Amino acid sequence: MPAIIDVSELTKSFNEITAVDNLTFTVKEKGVYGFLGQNGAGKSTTIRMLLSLIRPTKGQIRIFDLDLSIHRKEILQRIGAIIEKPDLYKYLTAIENLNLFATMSGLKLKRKQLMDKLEKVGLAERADSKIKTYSQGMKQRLGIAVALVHDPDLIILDEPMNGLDPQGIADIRQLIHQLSKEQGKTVFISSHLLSEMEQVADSLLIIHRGKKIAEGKMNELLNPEQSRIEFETGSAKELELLLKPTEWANKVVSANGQKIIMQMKREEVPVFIRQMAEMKQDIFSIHKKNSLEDYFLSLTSH
Amino acid sequence: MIELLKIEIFKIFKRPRTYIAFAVIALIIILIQIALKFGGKEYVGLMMSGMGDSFEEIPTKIILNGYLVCFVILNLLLIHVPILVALVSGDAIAGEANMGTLRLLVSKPVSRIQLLVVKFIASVFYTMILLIWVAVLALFLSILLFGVNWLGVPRELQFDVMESDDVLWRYAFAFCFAAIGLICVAALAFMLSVFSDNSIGPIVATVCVIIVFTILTQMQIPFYDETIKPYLFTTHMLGWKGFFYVKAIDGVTVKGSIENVSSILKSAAILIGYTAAFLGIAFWYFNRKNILS
Repeated sequence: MPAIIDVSELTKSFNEITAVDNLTFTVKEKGVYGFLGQNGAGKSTTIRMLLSLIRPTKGQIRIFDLDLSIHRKEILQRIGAIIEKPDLYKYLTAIENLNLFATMSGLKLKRKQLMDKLEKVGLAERADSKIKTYSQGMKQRLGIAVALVHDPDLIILDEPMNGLDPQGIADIRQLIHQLSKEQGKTVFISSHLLSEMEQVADSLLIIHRGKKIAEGKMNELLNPEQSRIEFETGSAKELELLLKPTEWANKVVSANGQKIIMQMKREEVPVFIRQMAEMKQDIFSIHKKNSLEDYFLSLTSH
Repeated sequence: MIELLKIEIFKIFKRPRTYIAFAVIALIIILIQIALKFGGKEYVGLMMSGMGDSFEEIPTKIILNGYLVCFVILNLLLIHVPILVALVSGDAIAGEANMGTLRLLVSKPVSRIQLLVVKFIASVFYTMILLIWVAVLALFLSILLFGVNWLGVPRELQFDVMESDDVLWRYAFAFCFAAIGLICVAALAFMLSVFSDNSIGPIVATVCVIIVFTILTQMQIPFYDETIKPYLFTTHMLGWKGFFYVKAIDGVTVKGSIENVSSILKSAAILIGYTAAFLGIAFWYFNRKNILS
């Protein structure tokens, strides 16, 4: 599958601070590519560089196999984006906003065509209302209509679920599914909502302090064959010491307080529990930590 | 490009705040016209004092005609219109950053230079409409209310007199010159707008620059006459008055003449130079700017 986004050694420094540090990644055509990181990890800076809002200090961005620094206009013609909040002109109506951004994308749409686009996001009835009368969810839906008005091949969404109610989040999830699975678009999405990301993304890129710390297919990263299991015991440190001479030592991920986290195959779990009983070690509880949140926290919490 | 320009103009004239300037100008001009209609005799008397006995016999209604009223209005107003110009030009980029729409605009397939060009042309368009509004109210409404006659323009201890058929073209040129001056102010506000993410900053900064420079321009201190005043754009914005200073030979004014054309041209050139410099800085900076808002 050809690469839609190809980023190599991308770096952005603001004076002394390096927001994005030597970032290299590839986004393949079609599918949903999740972009994760804590606040201040460099996600928004990266997305702004992809949209040429920020100039990189170093590195190269190729989108649709074209160099962004040279073919900016051709590339942006094929991208639709929502960057953080979908801020639009509050003193204009929905249809005026949509028409304005369609024109900026080089399109001349008739009222009927614009109404069709608004219909798709459920705003046709409020097409002639000013944006200042819209709720946050309606603004978000209009933001999506604006991002998709020129039928882009690549959709970049920076925190699209921020400030939305559960119904709004479900709508966005549904839309992402529709765009990627039914229309074959490539969606590059950053979000703090890990559970949502787990539901929509096929691939993941995780950055921490501007650096890439993980990249790959969701099912490979959250490998069920190698689950992280949390055992509650009397003293995790004590148990870790006891395990040192054994074959279990290299399976310990962390040991804090009463909790020891180990990475092991499913069938190894009962074997380990039996050995603990033989070693007279109390196991009070067992918890499988295999969600995206667990994985993300295990990578970024130290 | 034309489509983008239409969008920008559409956006400017869809904002209620745009019409504040038009309302303010209309209010000031009408107040001046009312004052001169009912208290014109005293005003003319004050204006003519010290001009010699020969003017005292001329009836007020001849001196106080539409042309003079327009001159009085422009004299008062052309210092303040720049402040109203700053309302829109200062908001051009900073207002978009403040609303959060700048990132959306810059991520569209339009170059940053193109975006700035259409935004500045739209600001100039607004400025021109504002100036036409001033012209309609100050000149044509005054002509309607006060009629026309010869125009006498007071200047220190002399009085430049123009026959009524020698005035209208001077106003046409004066308004064109005022346009150059206002475009210069628009360029200043526009440049400051590029540096800011909040529209209040560039608007206030432009107003402050205009106030400080205007005070310096009007200060009667010989030291500043040669050291600072020639370099202030506000000094040259007063160049429009030059169209009403007439050549005189043996005490008789020459019809259709201008006393010092080269001085007017020099002022126009300096204003254009300032405009080019302000725009140059704006384009240079915006092309490199990281859009973080």
